[in-house]
Amino acid sequence: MMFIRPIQGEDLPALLSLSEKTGAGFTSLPNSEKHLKKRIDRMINTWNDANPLSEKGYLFALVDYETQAIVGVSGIEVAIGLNDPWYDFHVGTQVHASKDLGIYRQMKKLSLSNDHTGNSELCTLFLDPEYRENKNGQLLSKSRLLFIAGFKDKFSERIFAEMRGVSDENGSSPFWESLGRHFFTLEFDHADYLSGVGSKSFIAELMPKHALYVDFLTEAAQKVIADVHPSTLPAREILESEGMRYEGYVDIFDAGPTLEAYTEDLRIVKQSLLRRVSINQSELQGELMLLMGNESYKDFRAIIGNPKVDSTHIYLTQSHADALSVTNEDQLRVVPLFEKEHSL
Amino acid sequence: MMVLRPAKVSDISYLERLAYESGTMVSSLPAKRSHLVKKVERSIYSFEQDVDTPGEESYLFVLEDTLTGNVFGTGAVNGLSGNREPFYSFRNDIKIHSSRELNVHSRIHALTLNHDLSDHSQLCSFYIASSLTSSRYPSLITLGRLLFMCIFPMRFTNEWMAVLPGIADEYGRAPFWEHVGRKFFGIDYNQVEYYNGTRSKTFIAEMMPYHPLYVALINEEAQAAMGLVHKDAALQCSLLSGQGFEADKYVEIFDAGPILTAQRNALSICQKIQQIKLTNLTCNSPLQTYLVGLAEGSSFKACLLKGVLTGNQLQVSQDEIDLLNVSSDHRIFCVKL
Repeated sequence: MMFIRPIQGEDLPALLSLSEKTGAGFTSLPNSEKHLKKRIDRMINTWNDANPLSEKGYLFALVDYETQAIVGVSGIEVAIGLNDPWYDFHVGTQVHASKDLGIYRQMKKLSLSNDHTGNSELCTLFLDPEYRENKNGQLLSKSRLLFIAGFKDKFSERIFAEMRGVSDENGSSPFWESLGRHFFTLEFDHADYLSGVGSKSFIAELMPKHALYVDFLTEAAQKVIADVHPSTLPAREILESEGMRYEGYVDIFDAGPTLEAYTEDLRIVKQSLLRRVSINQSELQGELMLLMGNESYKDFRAIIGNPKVDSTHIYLTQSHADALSVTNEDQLRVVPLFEKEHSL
Repeated sequence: MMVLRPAKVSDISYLERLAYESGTMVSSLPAKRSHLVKKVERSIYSFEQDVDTPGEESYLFVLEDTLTGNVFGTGAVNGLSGNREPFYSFRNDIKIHSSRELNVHSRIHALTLNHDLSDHSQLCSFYIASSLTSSRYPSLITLGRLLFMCIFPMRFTNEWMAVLPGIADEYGRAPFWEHVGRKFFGIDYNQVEYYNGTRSKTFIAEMMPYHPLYVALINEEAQAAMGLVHKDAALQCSLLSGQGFEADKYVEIFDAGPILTAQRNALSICQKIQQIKLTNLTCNSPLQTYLVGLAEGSSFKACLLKGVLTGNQLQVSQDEIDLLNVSSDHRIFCVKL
C-alpha cells in the first residue's frame, strides 16, 4: 500500500536521491542539497504558519507503507508571483480588417502576462519510474486536490498547473529556438534550469515586452504552442479529468500549456464527501476505487482503495486506518478516484 | 532644351504613359487617369496659393523637352507629408534587454509603426523615361525640386524626406512584403502598392501591426532587404545622399525601402544657392554646369546650363537665355553642380 503525507525534515536524503532520477527537463526538483533543504524548510514553515503568503507552499511525499521509502513527491504553491513576478504568455487574437479593402484577418499573438499572480499552483510532481504502476500517479497528483478540498481557505480561488512543453531528446525546444534564442544566448536547458531554481524572472526581464505575432515564429514553433511533452500527456489527462483546462496561457520558454480552474469547480472539491471511519477485522470491499484523505492539516494522509462505504461510514482495515492515521469515528474525506465513476 | 516646370493639364497623356511605364516602383504615380488629373489639378492649385505654413499643397513637376513639348520625367514635392492623413513608416528602434544577474546585455531591434515623419516635406513621384536614366536629367528633376524648396521656404517645413523604392524583383515580389506585410494583408505587393497610391491611408492603421515587430523574428531574406534601395533608384539615392540626405532609422512599411531625411539647413544645395543674373557669354574661361532656377511669382522652372559665374553674373549663351524667356520679373538662382 502507498500513502501520501507531508514532507518532513528527515526526508532530505530520500528527496536528494529521488532528484537524481528526474533527468533533464524536470526543473522544479533540482539535484542540489542546498535547494532541496531550503524547499523542505519552506514547506515545514508553511504548515507551521511561520512564513508570509508569498513563500507558502506544500510538498507531499508518496511513501511505500511496507518499506517507508519515499518514491514520489507532489507540491502546491499557495500564491505565486508575490516576490518575483510570475510570467507567462497569453495567446490572444488580434483582428486586422479593412472594409475599404475588403480584407479581414485574424492574427494570433503572444503577450507577456502576469495574469496568474496570486494564484495557487500545482507543481513538482515526480514519481520514481519503478513505481509508475497501480495508480500511484493518480494518488500522487489527485491527493493534492483532496488536500485543497479539505483546506480551501488556505488557497487562492484559482488554481493552475504548468505542463512541460515539447522538446526533443537533446533537450532542444522548437519554441525556444524560434523565440527565446533570439533574445539571449542561453541554451534552453540552462534557461530551464535557472527557471527551476527560481531565476525565472531574471530571464523574463530579457524576453520580449511587446506582443508577438505568432506568424513570425517558425512553423515548428507555432505547432508546439500549448502542446505537452509526450511524457507529460498522462499528467495532462489527469488534471483535465479533474476539471482543469487550457485557457490560453503558455510557458514563456517552451510554450507548454497552463491548465487552470476555479478551485470550487474542481471535481474533487465538488464531489468529495465526509464519512466516519469504522475499522473492521476483515476487509469489506465496495464497488468504487476511492481516494481518501484524513482531515488533519498538519498530518495529512491520503490513500486509494475500494473499501465499502455507506451513507454514514467508511469501512477500513486496520492497516488502512494506520496509513491514514485515523481511528474509529474520525472523519475521512472521500471521493471516487476517477471522474467517470458514479458519485457516492 | 530640357526644363523642369510645373505640370499642366495638357501633360496628362504624357503623365499617363510615364505612370504606366513606372509600374509599382512609384506608388505615388498610379497609372489611373482620374487620379493623375486630380494630381495635376491639385498641383496647379498649390502653386496658386499664398502659403505661409505648409499644408495640403503638392507640387508636381514635369521634365519637358522644349523643342518638342514631350514630357520625359516627373517629380513632386508635398508641403507636408502627413497633411490630411498620417504618413506611416516603420521606425527601427533599439531596445536594451539587460539582466545583471545573468550578465546579459543585448540590443534588440524592433520595427514600430509610427507617423513621426508626418511633419516632413516630402519629395515623391520621381520617374524618368528609361532612355534618360544615364543622362544628367535625373539630377535636374531631383536637385531642381530641392532648389524650388530652397527658394520658397515658406511653402515647406525645415525637415525634408524622400521615400525610395526597396527591393523587389521584376515580377513585383518584394521579400519584405512576403515575410511581413503579406502576413497581415494576405494580398500581393503590387496590389497593396496600388491601394497605397489610390486609397485613403485608413487601411494602414487597420491592417498593419499594432505591436512592434522584433527584427530578429523576421525572416532573414526580409531582414536583409531592410533599408536597401531598389537598383533603379540607386541614382536618386546617391543624388540625395550627395546633398546631405541620410538613411537613418526609418523604412517604408511595405517594401522596407530606405527613407532619407535631412534638415533643410544641412543640405549642401541650401548652403550654396546664390541669386544671380543671366548674361550673355563673353569670357573664355572653361564652362561649368550650373543648375539654374527661375522664379516668377510662385511659379518656377529649372534647367541645367553651361556657363561661367563671375560675381553674381552667370554668363551663358544668348540662345539659352532666349529659350528660357527670361524677363525682368524673374528671380534667378544657381548652384554649381
